[in-house]
Amino acid sequence: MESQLRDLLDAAVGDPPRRVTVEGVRRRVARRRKLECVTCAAVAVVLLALGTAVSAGDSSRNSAAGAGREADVPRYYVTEGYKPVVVRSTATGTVTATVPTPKWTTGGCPIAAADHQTFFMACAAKHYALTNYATLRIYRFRVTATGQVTDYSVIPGGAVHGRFWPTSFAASADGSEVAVGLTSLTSTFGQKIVVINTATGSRAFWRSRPVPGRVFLDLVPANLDEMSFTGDGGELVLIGDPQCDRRKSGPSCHITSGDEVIALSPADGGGDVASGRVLLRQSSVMRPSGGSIQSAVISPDGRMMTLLVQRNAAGRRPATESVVQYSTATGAKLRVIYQRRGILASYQYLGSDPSGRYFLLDTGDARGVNGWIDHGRLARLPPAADNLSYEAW
Amino acid sequence: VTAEVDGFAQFVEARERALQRTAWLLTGDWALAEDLVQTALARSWPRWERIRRRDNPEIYVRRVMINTWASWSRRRWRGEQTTGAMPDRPVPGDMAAEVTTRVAVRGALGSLSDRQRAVLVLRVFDDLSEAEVAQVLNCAIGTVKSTMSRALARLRDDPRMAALMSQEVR
Repeated sequence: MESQLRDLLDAAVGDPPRRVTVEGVRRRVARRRKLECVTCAAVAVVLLALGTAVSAGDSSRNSAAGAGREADVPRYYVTEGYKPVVVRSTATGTVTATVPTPKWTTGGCPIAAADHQTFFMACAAKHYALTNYATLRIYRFRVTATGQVTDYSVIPGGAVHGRFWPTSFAASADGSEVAVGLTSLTSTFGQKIVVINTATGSRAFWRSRPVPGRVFLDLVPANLDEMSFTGDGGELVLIGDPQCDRRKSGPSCHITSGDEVIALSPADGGGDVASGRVLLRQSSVMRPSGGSIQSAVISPDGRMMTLLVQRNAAGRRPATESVVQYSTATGAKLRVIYQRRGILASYQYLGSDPSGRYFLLDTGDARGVNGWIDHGRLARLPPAADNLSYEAW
Repeated sequence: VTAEVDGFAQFVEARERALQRTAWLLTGDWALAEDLVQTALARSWPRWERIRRRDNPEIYVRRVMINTWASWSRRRWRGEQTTGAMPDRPVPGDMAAEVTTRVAVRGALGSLSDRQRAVLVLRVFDDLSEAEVAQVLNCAIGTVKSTMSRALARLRDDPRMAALMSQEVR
């Protein structure tokens, strides 16, 4: 019946007698705006006539609404995949510029955004002649209003050599500090984080290593990928995975809490990662065996953290991944800003823009997507998730 | 800015005929259909930059169109203004058969509720999937299925449509 009905409807409709043109639509938009202006003017006159008290209250509400207006979605984002590091337009996905990367780079170049214009990039090369020895260079560049790259340079203190490999990268919103997560090339455990002052080149190191008699935080490379600074650079937030080392931690060491979101204070000048302030334990979100916290991003004011939480499938309930916001003060769950079911990837990325309002989410696997969270849905961005290593905006 | 406007212009150029045909099935009148499409596009234009980032801008435009039409349907006065000049002109040839079909279809569609009509037009005429119809109407897929089933049952019982369909079969 449906195909018969379709033919009937098609025959009944025929062709429109006139075309709808863009010019016609534009005229209508202009008419609507003019009408709105007239209506607004009339309303304003009425409000004024109602008296100063009413109009004062009204204007204060209007100014509050204006102040609360959302900042613009970043116009450009920088990605690094199997192709070179490129700047892309958020609106169209088109490449507006290619960021120069050193020819000697043998690994990826993690990227971090300071503000919407200033970006940092950490490129590394492994020296095959010198076993387990690598060189790291940290670059700064700016993206102009037209998406071009300018002011490209190595930052002071941005050349680092040693037996490590960079796995994560973050920059403070004012661009005064960058943090690099380094994984040892010579031992199973032995990650460290270096925070570099981009003006003076001074460095502070935090180490993660087995501690006799107690649990230590293992900074799993996949989790290290998402470090973030508070807006003033006062705290660096990352995820640690508590571990027991058979030889050093002793037989009494056992782990119950799962992943931990911790905050380090760069002003301390370095130390042991395990001494960081614990903002949240996985056990307060879900059972440690029930899934994992993949990423944690701190808000610029430090009051809220946004977590990418994976829950394993259980019974009839499918696996889920959710982007959930928690209060850092109370640990209370505030809201879920994105959720999808049925797919779990081993590697994912969540990062925010410097305003802390807009989140990039790379869902990791070949079936997943790369995009930004737009009111509960994922607005897709190129390249596809399986063709992407690092991303920032 | 030019790129955004270009994208919009290309969309209008490519899809206005299809949108107008859908609008005619909703309104039963070409002038109203044109008005409905223009209104939906005018409402979509200021948000075009955001809309185009979505997977399918047409779904959004169709949603605006359906919502606008639904609000017009609820309104007692629809903004028509009388005019002394009649724009209609005689058409060439014998249009009797076409007119008969058109009147019958319009009458039969008129017997449906607004939602049934929207579901039927989007699903059967525009060939949208049940999921897409649900997206346009902002409802569950199950609601689309049940509404569609009721709409088809009602059309099956309509003598005008029954007559047309039996002609088609012959």
